[in-house]
Parts: sequence; C-alpha cells; structure tokens
Amino acid sequence: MLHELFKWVQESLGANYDAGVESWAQQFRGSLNLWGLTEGTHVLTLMVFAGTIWLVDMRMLGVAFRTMPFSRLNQKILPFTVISFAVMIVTGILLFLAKPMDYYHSIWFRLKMVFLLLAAANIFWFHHHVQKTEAEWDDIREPVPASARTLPTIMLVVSAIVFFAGGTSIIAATISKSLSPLNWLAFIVGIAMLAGTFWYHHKTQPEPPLPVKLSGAFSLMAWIIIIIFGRFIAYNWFDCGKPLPGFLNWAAECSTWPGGIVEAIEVDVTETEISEPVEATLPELPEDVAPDGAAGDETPASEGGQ
Amino acid sequence: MDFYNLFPNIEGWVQGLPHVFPVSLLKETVWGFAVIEAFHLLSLGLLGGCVIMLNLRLMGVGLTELSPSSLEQKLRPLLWLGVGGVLLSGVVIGMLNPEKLYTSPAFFAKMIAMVSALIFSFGVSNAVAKHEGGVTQGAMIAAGIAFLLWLWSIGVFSLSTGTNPGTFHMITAGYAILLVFSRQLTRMIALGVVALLVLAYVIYGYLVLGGPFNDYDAFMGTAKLLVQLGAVALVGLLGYEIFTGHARESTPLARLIALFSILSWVTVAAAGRWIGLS
Repeated sequence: MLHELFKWVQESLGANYDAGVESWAQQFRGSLNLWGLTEGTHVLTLMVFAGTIWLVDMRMLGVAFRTMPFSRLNQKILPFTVISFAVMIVTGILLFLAKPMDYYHSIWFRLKMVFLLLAAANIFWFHHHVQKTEAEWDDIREPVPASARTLPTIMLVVSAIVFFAGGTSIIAATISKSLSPLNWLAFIVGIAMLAGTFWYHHKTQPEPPLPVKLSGAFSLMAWIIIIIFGRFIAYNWFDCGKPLPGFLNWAAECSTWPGGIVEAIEVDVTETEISEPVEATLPELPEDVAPDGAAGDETPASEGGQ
Repeated sequence: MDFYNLFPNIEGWVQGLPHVFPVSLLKETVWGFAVIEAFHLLSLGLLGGCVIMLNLRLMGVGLTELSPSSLEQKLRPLLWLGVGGVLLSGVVIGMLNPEKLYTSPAFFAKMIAMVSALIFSFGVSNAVAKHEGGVTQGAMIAAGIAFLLWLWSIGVFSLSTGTNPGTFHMITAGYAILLVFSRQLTRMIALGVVALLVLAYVIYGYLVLGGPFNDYDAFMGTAKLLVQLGAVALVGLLGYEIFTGHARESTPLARLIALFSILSWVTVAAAGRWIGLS
C-alpha cells in the first residue's frame, strides 16, 4: 500500500502529462538549484546536530565535560540540537518526497529509519526513566587522572576499527556475493570488543551510573550509524532490480519494485523458453527511474561527489 | 578559478594519484569511496560541534557556564580528532577522485576556505579563548590573513558558474548565527527581512511571471538580486549586533573573529557539497 502511495507521489501528484507538466516530485528533482540547496542544507545542518548531540552523549558516558553538571550542559546545548534536528527533519522529508518510491525500496533508507526509531526510543527512555534520577548523578565527584584514560582509549580505537572493518566486510562480501560466516564473526567480535571496552570503562569510572552511560553510548552509536546509512543511500549496490540475496529482496520489499526481484534477473536466458520473455519481468519504468538503481541526483561520491 | 588554471603542468601527477598505494587498493573496490566518505561526514559532524560551541561562546552565547579558556581546553582533543578525521579522509577522497577536483572551482574554493578555517581555529579562536576573549597582536594578524583567504574563497565560490548557488548556505548560516546571538529586536528584523524576500520571490516568480519557467532569465536575475539583498541586510544586522551587542564578557573583535571562524568552516563544508552538485 505504501509502495502505491509513494509511486503516486513520485509519478502522479501534481502532474499533467497531457500538458507536459511533470509531477511535483519530478519537478523538484529536476530543479536547477532547489534540490541541491535542500540537500546541502540537510548535510550542513549535520555539523550542528551531530556535533552537539555527541557532546551531550560523551558527557553521559563520563568522557567529556566531567566537571560540568549534566543538567547545565544539556540545558545549554539542547536548543541547538533540537532546532538543527527540526531543520534536518524538514529538509529530509523534502528530499524523501523528491523520489519517495526509490527511498522506500532502499535498504539503507529502511535501516536508517529503524535506527532513527531506536534513537527516538532511547531518548524517550532517557527522559522518562533515566533522567528522573538526574539529581543523583548530575555532578561527577570522582576526578579521573589522565593516565587512567590511556588504556580505555586504546581499547576503544581498536574495538571501533574491528567493528567497522567487520561491518564493511559484510557489505563488501555481499556485493561480491562471497558473504560467509567469517564476515559476521568479525562484526560480532567488533561488537563484543566495544561492549568489553564499555564494561571496562564503567568498572574503572563508575560515574555516571550504568543506565546513563548505556543511554549515552546507544545514542552515540545510533547517530553514527544513521549518518553512515544516510550516506550509503546514494549508492546503488543493493537496489531492487539487481541480483540480491533473498533477505535483502525481502527487507527492501523488492517484490513490488517495478524491476521485480532478483530471480527475474538471475534467470539464465539461454535456458528460458521463448514463451517466457525476460522482458516480461521488467515492467515499464518511468523515464527518470534508472532500472539498474543508479543513484541519480544523489551524485554518489564515486562519480564526483564529496 | 581552479587548480588546473593555476597549475596546468601537474596534470600528469594528478592523474596518477589514484594509483598511489594504499589509495589504489580502495580504488579497486566499489565500497571504498563510500566508507571513506561516511567517515568524512562523521568527522565533519564532530568538528562542527566543537567549532560552533567554542566560537558561540566567544560571541557570548551557548556554554557560558564555562570560561572560554576552560571550554577550549575541554573541546581541544575532540576538535583535533574531528579535524584529523576530516583531513585524513579528505586526502583519500581527493586522491580517489583527483581529475574532477583538479578542474573544480568548488574544490578550489574549499581548499582556500579550509586554510582560512584552520588558521581561524588553530591560530586565532583558540588563542582568543585562551586569553578569555582578549585578542593579541599575533592573533589579529592571523585573523586578518584568514579573513582575506575566506573572502577569496567566497569570491571564487560566488563567481563560478554552477557553484554560486552554494553561497546561499553561508547566508543562511549567517542568519542562523544572527538569530542565536542577537537581541530580540534584531531577531525580529532579521525574520522580517527573510519573510519579505521570500514573499517577493514567490510574488515575482508565480504571480508576476506566472511561473519561473515563463521567463527563466528574468526569474533567476531577480532571485539573485533578492539573495544579494538578503546578504547585504545580513552584513548590516550582524555588524550592528557585533559592535553594539549585549554580551559584555566578549569584545566586538572577539565576536567578529568567532563569526568568521564559524563561517569559514561552513564555507569548507558547503563548497565540498557543491563539488558534487555543480
């Protein structure tokens, strides 16, 4: 149902093809500067949003601004975070409406939305549960000598490298169709190492309490992942219509995509009966929808973006 | 203006950059560029938070609970991390895609703005913060050099066909800063100016012309004029607030430096984005 709605928004809303008028979404995408300015604003606002929320997250983890009460820091920084988030939401919705059907079937967009919901749930949990005891942990009383930070920092760097290398290996192996349990193992080891680093940090620096640190760590990671996935939307590795593993076809709901699911493309045409032409699995596409999932307006960096 | 115009003899060297180890390994992959680009964005986010909070503090808003020197000390490792990440990933991105950047005015503007921003952050803003808002002679000279470089980058950015719409980001950033640190009356005037300009844009484009594409050249000319008017109003309002503002613990010179420090980084980011968009 959503597919049909977004298809209508992308192709029909505001359109009068008889009079040569494209849909609003197509006009927006085809505009000389409006799309670029909206996209640029979305990315640039990241400098305010991510930067400010991470400062608060790091205070919750007890690794930055330790001598400043959390309540004061939060009170001063939160307006910047909230306003920049509002700008990102507005520009994000506009960008989504430029090609809603493409985004709807993008696995990276879907994952980004999942982590946005998780980040929102974390904020809800923090405000309605953790923050009720704020008076007890607002001030950090135990100073941490600089020497005590060395080992956790090294552990964090190594863990983060293993975690991101593991994640990247899963993407790379899926693209090259060589995904194996080893890729997942590397990723899981990375998660375990990050968890170990977190545990060591909490044991050696007990303030703030565990729920505060957990909420801060989750927020930090969630926004990092949201930014990464947001950037990956521009790349067409796993777009519907390409040969994809079954779970990706399912997760991106490729069955309703105009290009169909992977089986339609993986068919060996030499063994296909003439009565079942391959073209039958490739329905008509709007002129501006690239069937190979080319990133189009998003200008993937590999084609010159930066 | 771009690097090709300035250094046409290094074209061969530029073409060979993607084949330099270890960047050449990434070039062979379809995911390498994306991963580095994501890392670039993450670093930019961290860098942005540090630059904005420190310089807003120098303007007398934001984390005023802390002295400028204390805030600078707390943000320093994070700022280094952000700048280090941006530079490292930026070099790799540049080496993976050098031929486009070599002839890109947006990239040239970005590089000039980046030198300006680095001077502002590591030679001016940090020094001003360490002196609790006081501006030494050395910092003043560095600020002058950085400001001229920023003007140069803005000039390249705004005069190059295809990239010039990107200057809109600096103007909106300027208005955002104005709304954050100015007095109530100035805020109202700023919002009024923006509303008037948008109204004029809509009335001219859709009521007078009956649609932007009916007379596209006239529409674009008016749009540019309205943006320029917005920029002039911004400069006037910012100047008024900086030199008569209410933040007593901050001097006008420190506020001016902080403003251009933020805007120089915004220019770096905006120019970077418009490399891909132009």
